[in-house]
Order: sequence, then structure tokens, then C-alpha cells
Amino acid sequence: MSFSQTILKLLVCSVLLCGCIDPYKPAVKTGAASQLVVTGYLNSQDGSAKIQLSNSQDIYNSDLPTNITGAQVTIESDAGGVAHLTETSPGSYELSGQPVDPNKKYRLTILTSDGERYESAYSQGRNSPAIDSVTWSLDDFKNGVDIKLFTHDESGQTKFYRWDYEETWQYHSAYQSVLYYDPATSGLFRREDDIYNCWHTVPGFKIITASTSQLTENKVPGQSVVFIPRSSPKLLLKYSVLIRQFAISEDEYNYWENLRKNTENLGTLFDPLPSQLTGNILCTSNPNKLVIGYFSVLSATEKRLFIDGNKLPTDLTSDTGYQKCTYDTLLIADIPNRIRGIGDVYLFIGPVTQTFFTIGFSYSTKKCVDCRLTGGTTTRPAFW
Amino acid sequence: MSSRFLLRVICCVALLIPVVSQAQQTLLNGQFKDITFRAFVTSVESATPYRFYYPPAADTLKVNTSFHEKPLSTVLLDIFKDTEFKFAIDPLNRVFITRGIEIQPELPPGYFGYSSLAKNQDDAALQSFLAGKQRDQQQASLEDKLFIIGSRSAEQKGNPSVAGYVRNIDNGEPIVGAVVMIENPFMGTATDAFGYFSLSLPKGRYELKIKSLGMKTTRRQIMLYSDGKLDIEMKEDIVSLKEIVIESEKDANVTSLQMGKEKLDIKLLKQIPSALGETDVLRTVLTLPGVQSVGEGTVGINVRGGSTSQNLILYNDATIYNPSHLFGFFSTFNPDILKNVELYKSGIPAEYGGRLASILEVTTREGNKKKFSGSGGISPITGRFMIEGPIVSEKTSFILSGRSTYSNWILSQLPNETLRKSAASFYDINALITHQINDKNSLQLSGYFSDDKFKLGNDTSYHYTNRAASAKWKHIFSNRFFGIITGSHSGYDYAIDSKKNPLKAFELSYGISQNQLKADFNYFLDSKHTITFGASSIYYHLQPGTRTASDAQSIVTPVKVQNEQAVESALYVSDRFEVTPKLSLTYGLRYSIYSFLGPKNVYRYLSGVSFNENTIIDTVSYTGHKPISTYHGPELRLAARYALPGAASVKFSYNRMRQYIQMLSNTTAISPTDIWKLSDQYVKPQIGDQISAGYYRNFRSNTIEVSAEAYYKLTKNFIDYKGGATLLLNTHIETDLVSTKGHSYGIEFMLRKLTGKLNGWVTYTYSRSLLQTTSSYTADRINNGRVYPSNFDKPHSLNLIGNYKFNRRFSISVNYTYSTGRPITLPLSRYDLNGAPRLFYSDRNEYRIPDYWRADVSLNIEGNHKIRKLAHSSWTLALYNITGRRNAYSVYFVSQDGKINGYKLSIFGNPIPTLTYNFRF
Repeated sequence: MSFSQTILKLLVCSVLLCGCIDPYKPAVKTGAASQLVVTGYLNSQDGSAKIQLSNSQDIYNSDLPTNITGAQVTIESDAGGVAHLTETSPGSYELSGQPVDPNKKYRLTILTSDGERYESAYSQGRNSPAIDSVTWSLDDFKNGVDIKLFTHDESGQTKFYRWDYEETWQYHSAYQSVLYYDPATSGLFRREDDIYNCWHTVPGFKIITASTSQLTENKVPGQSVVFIPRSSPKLLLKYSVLIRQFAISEDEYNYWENLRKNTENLGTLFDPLPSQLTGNILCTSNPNKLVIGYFSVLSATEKRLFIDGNKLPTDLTSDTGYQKCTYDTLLIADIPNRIRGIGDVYLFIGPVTQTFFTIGFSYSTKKCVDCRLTGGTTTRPAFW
Repeated sequence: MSSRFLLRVICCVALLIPVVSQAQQTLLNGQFKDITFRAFVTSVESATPYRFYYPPAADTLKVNTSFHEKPLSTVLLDIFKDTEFKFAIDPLNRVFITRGIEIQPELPPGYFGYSSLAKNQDDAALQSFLAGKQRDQQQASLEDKLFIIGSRSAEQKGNPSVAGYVRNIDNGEPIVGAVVMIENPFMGTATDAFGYFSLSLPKGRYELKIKSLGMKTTRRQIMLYSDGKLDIEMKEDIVSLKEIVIESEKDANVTSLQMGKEKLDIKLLKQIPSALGETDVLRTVLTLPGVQSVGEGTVGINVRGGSTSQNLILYNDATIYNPSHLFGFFSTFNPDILKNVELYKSGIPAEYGGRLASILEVTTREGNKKKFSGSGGISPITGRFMIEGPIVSEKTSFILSGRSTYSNWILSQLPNETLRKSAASFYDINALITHQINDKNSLQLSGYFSDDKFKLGNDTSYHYTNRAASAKWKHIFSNRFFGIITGSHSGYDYAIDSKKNPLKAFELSYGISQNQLKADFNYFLDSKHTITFGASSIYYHLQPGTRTASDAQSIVTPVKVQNEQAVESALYVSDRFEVTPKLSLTYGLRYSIYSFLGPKNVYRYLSGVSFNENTIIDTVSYTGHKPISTYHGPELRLAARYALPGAASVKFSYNRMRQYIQMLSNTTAISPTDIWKLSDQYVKPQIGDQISAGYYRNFRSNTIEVSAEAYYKLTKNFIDYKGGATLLLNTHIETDLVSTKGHSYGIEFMLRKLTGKLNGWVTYTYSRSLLQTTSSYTADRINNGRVYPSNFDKPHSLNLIGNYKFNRRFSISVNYTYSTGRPITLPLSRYDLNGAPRLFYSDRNEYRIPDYWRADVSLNIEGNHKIRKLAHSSWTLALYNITGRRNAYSVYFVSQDGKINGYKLSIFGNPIPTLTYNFRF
């Protein structure tokens, strides 16, 4: 934990017992010249690349970023080869099956439809060593689950690492529905699909990097990748995380570190002051124009970890995310009058019986019944 | 009193053997050296039947004589030679001493028909009555008695001078900064750190007025013939609790030559409401015009647009590197032993150097020379205790104090396990011994130690210590000339210990130490010129960072950044010249020379491009203690005052300062892990020039002071950082630094009323502090070379401090403070990277956090005023931030679950009541 975080926490929660954090939205100038944002890399293993071009937007603008369409994107080698990327979806430019020579350097060039030309610095492929292991454990204070990664590089070539990850977890909605309402016939029918059991997959937002340049051995001795707090519903049934490891250059490492410091680790007077950062891409047609992004030739190694919810202490997984759900019953006598109104807004769960007789049908809000409404999908992932 | 004199007689080699002759007349043998007349009388009375009756004025005489078988009359004739005193001896062996007029002890024989008739009982009764009255009346009678300074017949070239010590009558402590003056024509001087003064006046009779903060103003009548000594004792002004503070230096605002200097007395410090129930020197300094801080949880001060590291903080002459405890919520100075705090913002005297923005001198008390006493206090977070007393009565005294926090205990009571295993603690210890060797020599030894530790959970722990020691020897060569030799040592160390992951466990340590020797001399040339001169030399030794593996399993590479060492020396001379009673000048020159010394390996960089790791072309190895780079230059100091009619004056000052050691910190506030860097061939010394002018006026017989001061300051080679700079354990730190040029300017207004039931001050300051990078390389420019505000640029600042005293036991204090929010770099735009939004920032310091304002109130309740009781106690009930305004301490943005959220952190977001109990015995 960094010095500043230590201070922040001590200040806020203990010594004075009175610090407070309030949401704050300062007025900043809007409509500032937007910058081109470039993400993506050239995969040296399969020669694929997926370059995403978008524009930055005003800070409080919560719309999706605008994609840059119609640009000419190429990857050039220092030996002269040029590969053109094709726009497969707005702002997304792809390449596949391009042979990558480990002894050559490659760069990205972009010519946007407004005539600006951008070039990245040349980058040489780096092979990532295999991930040794990914483990999980309860943290010291049982505040959650800490997932750690161990790796090393015998060749000693990799000194800087970056990881990204993708989390998937299985969960159930509050109530398993066996009935559905058909508005056409105003009738209730047996449900064939499963909207109770879902899998939710999200990419990791955190920037995770490590350097072994300050260590005597070239190994990463337990890098924290994901921390799942104790109340998280992720751990209820089964959880999985896929970690991708990249070997990067020192320059790229600094880029990600600065990016991380600027957006994840600011808060107190003891934090470093934020700084503008750009990356290794320049606008050659207008040097004053800032570009955000870092292009490099990378290869990824992967490892997946599963955690079975019933292996965890029960008090750790108390929160389902559905605690507030309740259901109500539509009595058979009320069906003619109310089924339409209820059926349009709610989802039916199943019959309610009293001494062998069905007296009505339970229903609840769609969110409590349909697991897909919390972001998941009912399709079982291939790796599950 | 009497035992004291007796002691003195014994010490001063007194020998008195009465020899009774046949002629019924007692003959005396004796030898007296430099003792008071009273002591002489005591010794004669004890050995002979003579009884003396004399006016208090006679006690100013010093008896220096030796005699063999002489009658008393001969002896007295010798003693009173060259004085106005006369004597008469009556047949009952009573000796009457008078001034000017000689009396006849006997009426002419047969005047009443009988000769003198005396009753021995009456005589004894009279004596005892006189002795009782003596002590009470002493102070009062001293004010009326005429002191003879020097000898009427002495040869004197030029104006004679009177010199001596001003001390506290109750504990013998010297009174610093007491004004010794005559009113018509106005001439005066102030006592130095030892309570010593020297005033040169034409021969003649004067009434000296002696004034000091918190002391009863007193007077002395003197008849000045030639150089002589006059020690003065002052009584504490117990009755007038608060308003004394003002009275003592009532007219100093207008009459003193110094400008841009603020002096705070401990009594004043104590009545200002504080957040955590403890008097805090640095926080009070923050209420003065021209002094600001970046946030309320920090004690780092920014003086007139200078950085926190541009202040020289001296604790009994030793430098303090980190004046904060507990991330800055407390200053490291224990209020119990403080005497006063002086802050120089401009017109900095030539004896000081080494920092650009200000000199903050913290002086502790010397300890009671007469009796043992102590004091202490209990506040919600800390407890403190102080004890003082004589080691050798009247000569040697000590003071010892300690302060600690029970925050660790508080943490251990909390329900959260992480917090229970956390730690945040500090303590500090101060000790001081003063010894008066003799009239000419005195010695002071001071020691200071502070220690802070904190950690969160069982993660990384932080530990830092400050230490300072000084020894000061003062020697008086003559009435007009004295010197002080000071040796001091200061150090600051910190260590970070991380053990969470045994494989990555490390310990990082940093240390700085300095040893200084300086000599300061003061020569009172005549009534118009006072010359000060001296020399100093500092040896710095820095260990800029060492990292070692702290666990057997750890694979952390040990790193050691090479040690740095340097010598900074200076010579100065300055003259204070009273040109006319209206115009006075101080002009001085300080010349400093600095050498960065080996051994060290120095990188050389490719010329013509910005320094970075890839432009290193060579490493040059310097061995031994040889200079690697040397800087030197003159520092001119000028100050002038011109008195205007009607208790007003205008003042002007100019000073240049050079700073050879800089703090590297890319955080906004002082952090315990900030490092100091010595100037080397890449990091040039900072040079600051300040010009300031002011107008001062007092109204209503000096009870209301009004002043306005304007300044302009230009700073060269101030350090700022490239974006994302790494400062710790960086072996090529010069690649992350950029050099900037700073401009600061401002105007400060102050209205102060220091007397009466209602007193206090209001200040308003408009100031700017701007920086501009000077490099020609794009990579080394901030905001593309445009002028930008520094982190502590807060243009408007308003402070109000008011005290109202209901009666002697109850008083209420109010504090209001407003300032513009500090500059901040805010995100302007967002973009998505790997599905998470990220931020793109504005130019550095383009925006500001919300304005800051806060009001506090405190109620002081003194215990009853019975003189004799076990302990005197007082209670302070304070309410900090009455309105509970959530002032932003910092503003930040984080990317949380795919959204950008802005937050404002307030530290004292609610009204905070505190109750503090103080006692003294």
C-alpha cells in the first residue's frame, strides 16, 4: 500500500473520526480540443491486431466515446512491409494472420479522414514468459479474497510486466421462474428457458504492472491482480478469472504507471501531482496535437483460475445483490382483473399452493427474476 | 534576599576583622572586591556595633576597597569619594547615609536640655520593620532610586554606555527582546537572546524605560558618567492576563527598524483556538499576513509565495528539517517550554542566510533560576509535562519537557481489525540547561528529539525522527562588545519498512545531518552605530536513500544512492545606523560560499538535449573530500525607516538570499518521505531577491496599529518536476527536475488592537506566486513554458483574531479565516482505455479547489487567583469549525466501475469540540 493511501485511510477513518468525502463536480472548460485515443497492440504470436480509435470527450459527458471511422490504419515494419487494417466495426480496425518477424520492428500509422497523420514509435516483439501460477487466499483481515499471480523469466529478458484480466462469475436471480405470461393470450405458460442461472463476464478496469528491475531474481513473487471484497456477490456460486500477461518495455511500463497514478491513486495532499501523459504516438502533421495511446508488439500468455463459492467461509458471501427482493401473490380470483396489469410490469415466478390447492401465482420485479437484467448472460461459457 | 547577599559576600572574598582600639573607636581591617554597598553594610554590622541607615540609592554603589586598622569614617570617606553621598556617625554607633546634604547626627549640646537619648529596643524594632517592607517596596523604590553608572571622575572617550541584563524577577530568566529606551529624545535598544542590552548615551541623567511582552513596564533613573553596568529585573504582569502582549511593544510597530517581522509570545499563542486542543506555533503563524499553507492538515508554511522548504526553522539556533508530527496535524514544538516565535518575512538581517523565504526562530524558555516548577496539559490526543528549576541557585537552571500521544491506545479500541493493528504515535523531548559562569560569560545547552511512527494494518510502517542540539557560549568583552559562539547539530531520518510480502520485504532509509559552527559579534560603536559581524560554516551530510532486503527470503535488490556532502560558509557584517532620530538604516553584506564535495560518481549528459537516462554519456568519479562544484556570491541586506509626524513611519527593505539545499517533493504538502537535495553541478542554488516597502501608523496613543506592506520577490532556480517524476531512490535525479523562475508579489494590510477588553487583529493579503520554466527543451517545460501558479498561490486571504476578556478568569477568543482555494490540475477530458474511462488533465495548476473559510471559538477559564495552592490550572474549551463547513482538503477523480467520479475530501468537516486541561505548579 502506498504511503498516500495509508495516510488517506488513517486520516479519514481513525485518528480524527471526522473526515468526510463528498462527491464533487468542479466546473471545467468544456469543448476542449478532443484528443485521438489509440488502443490495441500487434499480437506477435498470431499476427493479429485490433486497433480501436476514438476521441476523448468532456469529463462529465457520459455518452459512449465517439469512434473514429474512415481512417487509414497501417502497421509498417522497419524493413518496409506495410499491412493495411480493415475497419470491421466503427472505430475498430483489424488485421489477422500477418506474419510477425521477431527481429523486425513495427509501427502504427494512422491517417484520419480529416487529413491528420499519426505515427507511433517502432516497437519490437517481446515474448511473455508463461505464468507460473495464480492463487487465491483470504486477505489478512478476512476482508475479502486476494488473487495473486506468480511468474518468472529464466531468460532474464522480461523486466517489466503488464497484466489484464477478465472476470466471470455464475449467479442466480432471486427467484427461479417456471411460468411466463403471454400478453397475446393473457395466459400463463410453462417457461422453457432458464433466466435463473447466469454468467457475468467483465473486463478488468485496473491497470496492473510490475517491474523486477529492483529485485535480485527475475521473478514476480505474488502480484495482487484482483481483490474481491467480502460482500461481493461474485463469490456466491463460482468465480473465474482469466489473466493475460504481457512482457513490455520500460518505456511502456512508465506509460502505464503514470496512467495508473493519474487515475487510480489520487486523493490526498501526499499523492503525486497528476500530469499530462501521452504515450509513443505523435501527430506528425500537427506536432501540437496530443495523442493518447501506446502501440507495441506483444505476445500474451494466459492462465485461468476458478474459485468454488462453497470453499469459502459462509460469512464472506452474505451479499447476493438480491436481498431487497420480495414477491407478491396474484390470487386466482383476481386473475381476470389484474393479470394484464401485473403481467406487463412483473414476471411470474410459480404457483402458490395451500393444502394441495393452487390459490394463485407469485410474481416479482423483472430484475429479481431475470438474471440477465443484472448484466449476465444465460449462455454457459465454453470454459465453464 | 538576605541570604543571597550573604552568599555573595562570601564568594567575593570579604574579610573583615574589627580591632577595638583604646580610644573606644572601632578600627576595621578589610578587603572588599566588587560587592554591593548593602553587602558591605551587612558585613560591617555583623562584626561591629555599627548600624547603618541609608537610602536605597546607595545600593548602586560598588564597594572596592581594602583597609587596615582604619576607623569606619575613613573607610566611608574612601567609599563615597567621587559620589554625592555623605555620612554621619552618631555616638550610638548609628551611621546615617544621605545624598547631597550632610546631616548633623546630634543637636547642639543642651538644645533640649539633654543629649541624644536612644533606646536600643526601638532601634531593633525599626530594623525589623524595614526588612519586612524592603521586599515589597524594592521594585517600586528601584524605579525612583538614582543609579550611578560609572564614576564621575572616569575618563571617557565618546559617549558612555550602560549595559546589563534584563531578567525576570521571579525566575531569573533573561527577557529577550525587552526594549530599553529613553523617550526624549527617542533612543533605545532591545535585549538580545541572553537578555543583554547596551545603550550608548551622552553623559547625563536619564529615565530608562524597560518594556517587554507580558512584563510590567518598569523605569530606572540613571546618572550616566562612564561605561557601567545595570542589571534590571522585571515583574511578570500577572493581572492583565491578555492585553499586556500589546502594551509591551506598543510602539515597536512604528519605531522599530525591522519590517516584515512578526513576533508571537507564548501567551498569545495559547489563546488561539486550535483543532486538536493544543497550542500550535505554526498554526498561529498561519494567521499572520503573508503566511499560508496548502491545507489545514499541514503545518508547512508558505511565506510570501515561497515554498515550504524555503523557510529556515531554527529551534534554539539548530535547524529543524521536518516540523510536523502525525502527517502535519501537530507541529513538533511543545508549547510548554516555548518563549516566543519570531518570523522574518523581509528585511532579513545579515546574520541569517541559507533559505529564501523566511526565518522562523523558535526560542524556548531557560528554566526557572530561583525555584522548581512545572506544568502540563491534557488534550484529546496528547499529554505533556514540563519541569524546570535551578541546579545552582541563580546561576544554573534546567528545563525539561516531554509530550506524547495516546492515539495508539485510541486505535486499539476501535472495532475495525485493520485499524486496531494500525499505529500512529509520536513523542518529543526537549531539554535545556543554562549556566551563568560569571558576569561576562554564560553558556546554554539545548537538546531536542522527536519521533513519529505510523502504519496501517500490518502493512508498511513509517518512522521518522528529528534531532537538534546546540551549545551557545556568550562572552562579554566590554560594555560595548560581546560575542556568541554557537555549535549545533541537526538531523532528520526516516525509514520505511515493508514486510507484508516476505519475498518483497524491504527497508528503506534516508538521513540528513548538518553540523554548524558560527560566531556572531555585536559592537555598540556609539549611540548612532551598532555593528554586527560574524561567520558561520555548515557541513552537510546526506544519505539520500538506502534500500535493503529486510527478510531472509526477500529478493529485493539492495540500492544505495551515493551520499552527498557539502560545506556552506558565510561571512557577514552589518551596521545599524541612526542617521537622525527620524531616519535609521541597517545595511549589511553577507557573502556565502558553497562547495559540493566528493566522493561521488557524477553522470555526464549529452549536451544540447534534455537530460534523461538515455542521454548519459559518461560517469566521472570524484574521490576524497574535494569540491565537485562551488558556488558563491554576495547577499546584500538593506533596511531603512523614516519616522513621520504623528506616530507613523515608512520603511523600506531589500534583501538577497541564497539557498544551497532544496527539498524535493512532488506532493502538495510536506510529507515525511520528502527528501532534501544539495546543490550540485546540475541543481543550481536558488537565489531570491525581495524588495518591500511599508507604511505603519499607530492611533489612540499606540493602542491601535495599522500597517500596509507591499513586496515583490524574484526567485531563480526554483525546482519543479517533470510529470510523473520519481524522487526516491533515483540515482539520476537531475533527469526528473526542471528549473523554474518564480515571481511573487503581494500587499498585506493589518489592523491590530492589542489593549483593552477587546483585542485582536484583522489582516488581509493579496498575493500571487507564479512560476515559469526556463529550459529551452520542450521536455523540460511545464505548460509549454508559460507562467503558471505555484501550488500555494492563494491570492486572497483574510484572517481575524479577536479576544474578549469578561473578567480575569473568563475570556473568549474567535478566529475567522478565509482564503482562495489552492491551484489544482483537473481532468479536462475522459477517454476509454480497455473498457475503463481514463482522464486527460489540464495544464498544471489551471484550476482551483473551492475557497476555504472557517470560524472557531474558544473559551478560556483560568483557575482562581489564590496565590498559594497546589497547582494553578486552566481549562480551554474550543469549538473548531463552528459552521461545520466541509472545506476541501483535496479534490480528486477516480475511475470506479467504469465511471469517473469526482470527490472532495474534508478533514475537519464537522464542528470539533475539544477540552484541554492545563496545569502549572
